[in-house]
Amino acid sequence: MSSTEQGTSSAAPAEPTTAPESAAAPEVPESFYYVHGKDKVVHKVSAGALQHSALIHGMISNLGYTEEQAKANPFPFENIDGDILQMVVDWCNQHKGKPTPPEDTNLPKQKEKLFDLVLAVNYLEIKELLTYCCKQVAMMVKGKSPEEIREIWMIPTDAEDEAAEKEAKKRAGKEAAGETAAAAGDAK
Amino acid sequence: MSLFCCSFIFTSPEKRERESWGIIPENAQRQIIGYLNPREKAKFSTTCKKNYELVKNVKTPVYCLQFCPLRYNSKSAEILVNFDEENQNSYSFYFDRNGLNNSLKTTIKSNGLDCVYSPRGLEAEFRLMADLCFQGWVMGSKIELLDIRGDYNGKIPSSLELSTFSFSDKYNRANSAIPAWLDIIQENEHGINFMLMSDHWDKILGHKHFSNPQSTLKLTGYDGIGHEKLENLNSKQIQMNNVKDEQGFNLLVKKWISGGFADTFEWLIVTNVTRPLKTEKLLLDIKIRGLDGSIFEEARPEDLRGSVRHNNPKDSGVQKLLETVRDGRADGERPDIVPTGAACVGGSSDGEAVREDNVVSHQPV
Repeated sequence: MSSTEQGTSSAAPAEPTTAPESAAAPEVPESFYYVHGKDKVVHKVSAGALQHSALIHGMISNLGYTEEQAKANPFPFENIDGDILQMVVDWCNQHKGKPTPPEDTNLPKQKEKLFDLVLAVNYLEIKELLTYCCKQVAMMVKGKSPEEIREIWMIPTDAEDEAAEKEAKKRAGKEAAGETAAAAGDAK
Repeated sequence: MSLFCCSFIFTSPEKRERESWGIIPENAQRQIIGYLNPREKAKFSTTCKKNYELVKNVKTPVYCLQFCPLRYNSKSAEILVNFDEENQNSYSFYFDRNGLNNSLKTTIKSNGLDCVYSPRGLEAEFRLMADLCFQGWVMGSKIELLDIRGDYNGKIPSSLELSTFSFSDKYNRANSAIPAWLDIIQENEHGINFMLMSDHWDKILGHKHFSNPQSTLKLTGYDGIGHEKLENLNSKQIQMNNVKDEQGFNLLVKKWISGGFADTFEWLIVTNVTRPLKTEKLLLDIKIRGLDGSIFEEARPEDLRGSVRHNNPKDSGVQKLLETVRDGRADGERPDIVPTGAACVGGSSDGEAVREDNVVSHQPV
């Protein structure tokens, strides 16, 4: 499917391949852009595939990135795990220029991966993929009781929520007190 | 302990956080909730307060929402949400005064219904929780039929679109919330079906909804419905159960005779549960002319205006009146219009049912 290259964001990517060749290749040579996630692995993605991401599409059109600039400076998505970004890139390539089917069965079944994918897709603003992911998450609790839903999605109880809030307040209070003490020390 | 609990305990805190519903952004959470069916939404809303608030903000079409706060000797309240006309697709929120926990809690009742919020002990708390829950469904749903049985003390929305509104309060409190609800119910071209039980008609009947010629009214008085304040009524169908006297019927029939009802008027029925209604009082000062059964039998069904609007002429108001009068004539001295202590009239404001000088007559074409 797609090959990637280990390296830093500044390293020029070698020969990353991404999109499967379509039967009717466009006459105009397609431009490519580069993205990397937390693991710094650079993925080469065609401009057509990136159309799915409103965020990246906006960055390209607003910043006026040329292909050369993009090659030298891949888009960094430090908040997205490498394997998740790979999944996203694969999906964008697979659905490049095609109408999206009503269902997608290739999404991860593991909860952690799926939740990470939701976060990534939501951040990258890929509407269609977010729809599939949300449907998949909803499927996890079909026919379950409230108690089971709470366990599957690890929803804290109200008591746990309250305790966490108290803890957060306490921590914030301590931090604020520490800062005031530090400021007072500096003033002296 | 379930398998889920085991996995929850043996999962590292970091992993637990990453797998937790809380990390999903709110817009995605809303989208996910949108893919749950109404029962699942209702179940999900009971997992914690935050999710309850979240579900409230995702609109759910509701066929019938019923609030019943005073069941089982005031120790519990129930909110029934029917998501479609079939009762199977429904969810019941159950609030128990004797609940052991003060936070939102799901309990499985013996009948297999998983139900909700069990705030501890105090009546005020359980009522507050019930009101809040009902408020959430009223505010966040598109409802066909709203059925309030008792006084709901929470906030009401600023406007409400529905097709049927039912209200009853077994304590028949003078400060009934009916007028407040009437104010927020939006009028629509198809009219609204009102089913109200009260004794405070002086506060209710003057409302503009009751002069809507497309609406239907089924009004029931605990103590009885008096004849006062009826002049405003101008609805398509009017049923007044347990009238105090015959004057209300008489007044409305006179109004019909003088063309006071809209063309959409179909019928008026009054009943009394304690005594038979007197024909002479019902038709006081109204002369009935030409209501000979043979005339109607000879007339074609389409000649009967009241029948024209009905698929079954036997159901029409005119037919009912016919049968009524025919029964009365056949029995000779029968004191009631119909044996059940009910009286009815129907027809249209123009056409064959001619009304002049307080005379009801019929001239077949």
